Amino acid sequence: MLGKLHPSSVWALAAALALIIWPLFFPQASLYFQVLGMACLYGTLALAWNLYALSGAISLGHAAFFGLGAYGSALLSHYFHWSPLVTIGLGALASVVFGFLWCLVFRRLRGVYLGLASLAAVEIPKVIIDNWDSLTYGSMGLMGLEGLPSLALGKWEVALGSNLEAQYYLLLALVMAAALATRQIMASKWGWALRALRENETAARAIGIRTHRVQAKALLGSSYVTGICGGLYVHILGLVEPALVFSLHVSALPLIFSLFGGRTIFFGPVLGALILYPLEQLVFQPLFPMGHAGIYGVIIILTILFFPQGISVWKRAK
Amino acid sequence: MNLCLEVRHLCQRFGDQQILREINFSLNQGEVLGIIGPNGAGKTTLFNIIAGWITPTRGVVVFWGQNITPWPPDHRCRKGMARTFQIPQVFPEMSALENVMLGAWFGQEPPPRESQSRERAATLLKQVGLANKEGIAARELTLMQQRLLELARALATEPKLLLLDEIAAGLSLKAVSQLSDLILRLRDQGLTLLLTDHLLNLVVPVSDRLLALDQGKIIATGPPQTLIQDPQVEAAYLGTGEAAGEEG
Repeated sequence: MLGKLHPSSVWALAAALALIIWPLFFPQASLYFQVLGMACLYGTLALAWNLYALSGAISLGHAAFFGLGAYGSALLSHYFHWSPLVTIGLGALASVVFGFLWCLVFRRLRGVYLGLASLAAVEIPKVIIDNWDSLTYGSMGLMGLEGLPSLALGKWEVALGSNLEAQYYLLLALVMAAALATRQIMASKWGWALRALRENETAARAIGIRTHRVQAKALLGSSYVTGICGGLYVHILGLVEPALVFSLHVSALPLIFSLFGGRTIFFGPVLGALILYPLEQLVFQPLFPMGHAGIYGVIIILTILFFPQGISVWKRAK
Repeated sequence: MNLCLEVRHLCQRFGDQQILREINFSLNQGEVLGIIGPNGAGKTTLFNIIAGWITPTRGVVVFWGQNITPWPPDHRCRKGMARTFQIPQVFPEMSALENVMLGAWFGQEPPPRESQSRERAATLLKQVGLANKEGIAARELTLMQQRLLELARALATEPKLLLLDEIAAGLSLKAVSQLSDLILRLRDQGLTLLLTDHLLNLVVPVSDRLLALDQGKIIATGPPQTLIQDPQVEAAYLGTGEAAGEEG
């Protein structure tokens, strides 16, 4: 069976297995559960960002979807006391609504103009949420949000909110599901349409591809998954505030991870997140507490200069 | 005779520049119509309007009895109108086979299966002489090969009307001759063709009828051999005797 798989898929499978089994040998490594769990969350975020980027569009505004998903879930949880498992799914619909507006308004924008417009678009929900004190508690945000719930199956019960190992496995399952979905999408007819659109929009339209529809589907899917990530993020942290979830950092990270890992390979963005985020948290931050964020800048410059297709493509070309 | 395409009262203005003025013509099924004219005559604008890339300031385009003026290019393609471009528009990182396969897969209604599209693509690549380039990335092909690839991709959409925009531009005389042979074979298969070029050695032998444009107006129309001797066409397109004397 393995013989039929592309070598890159075999590597991805091996990495996935390693990520599944390592906790069996290090059950007390809570810091690593936390860091790798967050890396998986950012990997999912990067895959969501990359779904839209597969059509050739570069978004600098995914923080808008992340923040809306985060606030959607946080407010539903706060006012209605529903389980986060429900509010995260429903809250992400706010991101889809914003995605729909994005499709309508930015329909004709391409390249750098789309990038700039998307960057500016983050300010709209951020300013509204920042100033609607009666509903959102403004810039103070919401503290003490309900954590992720416990899952029970017969006698077996696991607290996703407090058990870091369980949380790690949840986020690992999420990123694996997202990576597999991306792989299926890339091999599908829609995936071919996205690739055609990315390579040459004029040619894509000339052969009958409904380019606007193909791209809109990608953005709506991307916005929903990004919203889910935002919801998960704030329920894991237990708090939400505009400066946290609508920050440029949230828009930039998926781009950096995708560029570094490789945008055209299904696991590229995850690879980027799983390498860079733990490096930043476990190596750069302790070594350079004042300038660790700048290291991302250096990494992105070096990536663009030396392997512009990302390390997964570079590795494959070798 | 079945009417494939009709262009009625077409006008195009960009700012204060009138690019096309009152263009009227029709094209029958199985006919090959060549549009000629000097650079800047409005040929490509006319092509872009027919293919749906530009909405005309005034006038309508009728395709098989339907007013298609508001239709976007992708819809026109799925309804049977395919085109090539003056500068070949290929998918650079995809192989030649994938380029053509996508034409078959996306350009037809109802869409064929992926496997059928691949088979059709392989046949078409053979037909245009690119059988040995199937696995080569489109960006690695020569200009002539990219033109042939684009032609194969357009044919893969099973068009009822094929628009060829300056397909011979920048090619050697030998390549133009190969291209003429290919277009003649397509004509013999009954394909309706609309082509534009300022190279008469391509347009004249393959067209049933020519239409000459100058400064956005139709100045003459008729059989190729008659039209190229038309004094108005000679003056506008080939250059007047005086001009030729000056050059000489």
